[in-house]
Amino acid sequence: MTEPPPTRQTWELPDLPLHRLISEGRRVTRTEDAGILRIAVLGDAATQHYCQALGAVLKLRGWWPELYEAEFDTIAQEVLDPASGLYRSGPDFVVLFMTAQALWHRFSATADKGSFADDSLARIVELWTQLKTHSTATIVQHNFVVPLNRSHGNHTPAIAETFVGAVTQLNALLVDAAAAHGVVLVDTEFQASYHGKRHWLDERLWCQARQGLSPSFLPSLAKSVSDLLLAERGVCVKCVVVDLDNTIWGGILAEDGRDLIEIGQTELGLAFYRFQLFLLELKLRGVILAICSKNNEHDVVDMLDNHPDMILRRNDFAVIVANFDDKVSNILAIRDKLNLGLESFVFLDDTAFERALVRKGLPQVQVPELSEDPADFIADLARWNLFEGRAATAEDLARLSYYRGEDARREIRAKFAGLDEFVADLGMTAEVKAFDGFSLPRVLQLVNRSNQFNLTTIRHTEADLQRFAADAQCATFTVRLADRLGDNGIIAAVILRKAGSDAVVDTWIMSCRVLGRRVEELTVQLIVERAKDLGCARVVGRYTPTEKNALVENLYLQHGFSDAGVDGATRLYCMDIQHYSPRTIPIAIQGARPVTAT
Amino acid sequence: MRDDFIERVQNVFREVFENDTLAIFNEMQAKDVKGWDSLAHVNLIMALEDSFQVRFTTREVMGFQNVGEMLACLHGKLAG
Repeated sequence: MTEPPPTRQTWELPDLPLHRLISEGRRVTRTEDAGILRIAVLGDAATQHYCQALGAVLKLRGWWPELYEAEFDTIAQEVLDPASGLYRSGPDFVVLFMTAQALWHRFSATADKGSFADDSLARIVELWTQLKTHSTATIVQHNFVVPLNRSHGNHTPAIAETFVGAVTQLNALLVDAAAAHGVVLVDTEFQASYHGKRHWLDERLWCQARQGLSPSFLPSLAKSVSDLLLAERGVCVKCVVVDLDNTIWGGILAEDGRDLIEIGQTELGLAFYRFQLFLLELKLRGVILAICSKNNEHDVVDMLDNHPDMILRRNDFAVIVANFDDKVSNILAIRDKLNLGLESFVFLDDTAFERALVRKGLPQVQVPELSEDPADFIADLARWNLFEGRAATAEDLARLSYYRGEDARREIRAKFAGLDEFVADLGMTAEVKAFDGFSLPRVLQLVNRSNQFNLTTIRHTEADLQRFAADAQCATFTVRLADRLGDNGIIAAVILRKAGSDAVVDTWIMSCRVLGRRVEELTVQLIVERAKDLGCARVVGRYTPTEKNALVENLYLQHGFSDAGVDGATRLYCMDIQHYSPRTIPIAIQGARPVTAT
Repeated sequence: MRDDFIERVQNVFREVFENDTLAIFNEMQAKDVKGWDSLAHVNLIMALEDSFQVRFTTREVMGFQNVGEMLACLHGKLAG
């Protein structure tokens, strides 16, 4: 029971089952640096679960709540009596958890239904005024869930004398009144709509225990209330760092090329287009956007400047980091450039590996699990309520233009120290196979599209590839990489040709997505094994420079080959097989080696 | 009622009451379990509903006199 709770990122909290949230909150021990929040909760619905959930959320977020929970349905008594427990508790925040269910009982007893909204607002504002007379606490007011009472069918909301009409009107009035009185509003109506009112309003539990909502949704509501409270303490997201490939556009720029990227008005392209529109809304309200992508910077800038369907352009990003280093050190570089605390960062990436790495290396950064379908990204962000904050201030917007034009990091930053350990713990397995009918389409795609991790950039045809696969004087293989986070598919393809006692590496292509995961070392080992099978004594590597493949310029030298002159524009490297010393690589190889000539 | 059904229900009890050794039996009532107050009761009902994808009516919830009745009601919903 004394075991500490698992470390939770804040975005996870809305989706925890209530009993687990409460149990984990109970196991948090108080630390000296946990800021104290004195919160009084007053409700006209039951508040026990509410208080437990809010307390647990705040503890799991590193704060220490001291909650004063008033007796059920005693809002006016507590507020109007200067000697009440409410005021004695000396609250920093007073939460008024009012519900439409309680309001309905009042409404049904009111003769003048047309003025019910105005009268209710006046009653609420009077409570605020009294609170302000006796306390300096920030007032946190829940708005009302527009209920399911449809007495006039589709006409219901238009009729002021209906309860739905009155609640709709009251919510609208509350917005202006709250602004005028410096009160913060909890958008309970949104929460209920998001989760679905038929589920949110558990009327059984209202009847049994005066539950204003199904307790299943309290983690979500409490998380959103905690965002409001903590925003008053300066806790908020200031910067969104986005990955590019399959996060803000469809496809892999380095492999597919600009013209095949999915962004625009059709299908997946439209999903990404809409997501970019949403990111632009964030930027307009003062959230800083930054890019952290495994890509060639030149290609990224070209895409941002020249693709006709992009919404986000180069100037929308304060920092652009596009390289093949690990994302932990790249996000640290972005942090240095922006000079913001890591707690104010959100990192959005479709790749499980990158998310897990950043969570491990930078646990302060919010790294949510995006849905598999990009069409769901906007709703995901709504559920996590990551962007609590008021309208942008003039300084926010000025700060943005100050950053604009800042380009990628200049100084080289040391690689993230935990990377090797993280990669070693991934449980990577490689399935190695000669080219076959299943892999040929993917190999052909790699051969035709890959530019960066491509040593020779020979665009073989499908017939060529089939010939290599059938030729006893050649060896081919693909590597399919999986780990505990998922299957990365076929990420490398190699073709070896026997030339006398040499095995010449005709083609070596790898997906840049798996750089830094020691697949290169594994591939060298596999090349040496295949060269032996071909009866060769030496491996000859070829590097033909193009505009795009500088990334692998020194690849052979880095892996134990030595310089062996040139062949026209191609640089040659060689290694005697007997001098190859295998390294320990944390990747288990699956699948039988092909049977070769004896 | 099959053992694996009772075991699934028991696991929900164990999670809600945070007691890994809790063993349920038909005559068991709230007074027999540490922490089974009205709040925990709501949590228990919600957790059972979530875990078995069922919904108890108000009358059913009000009628449960012991764990056995709860099990019988739940089992009836799953069978039907």
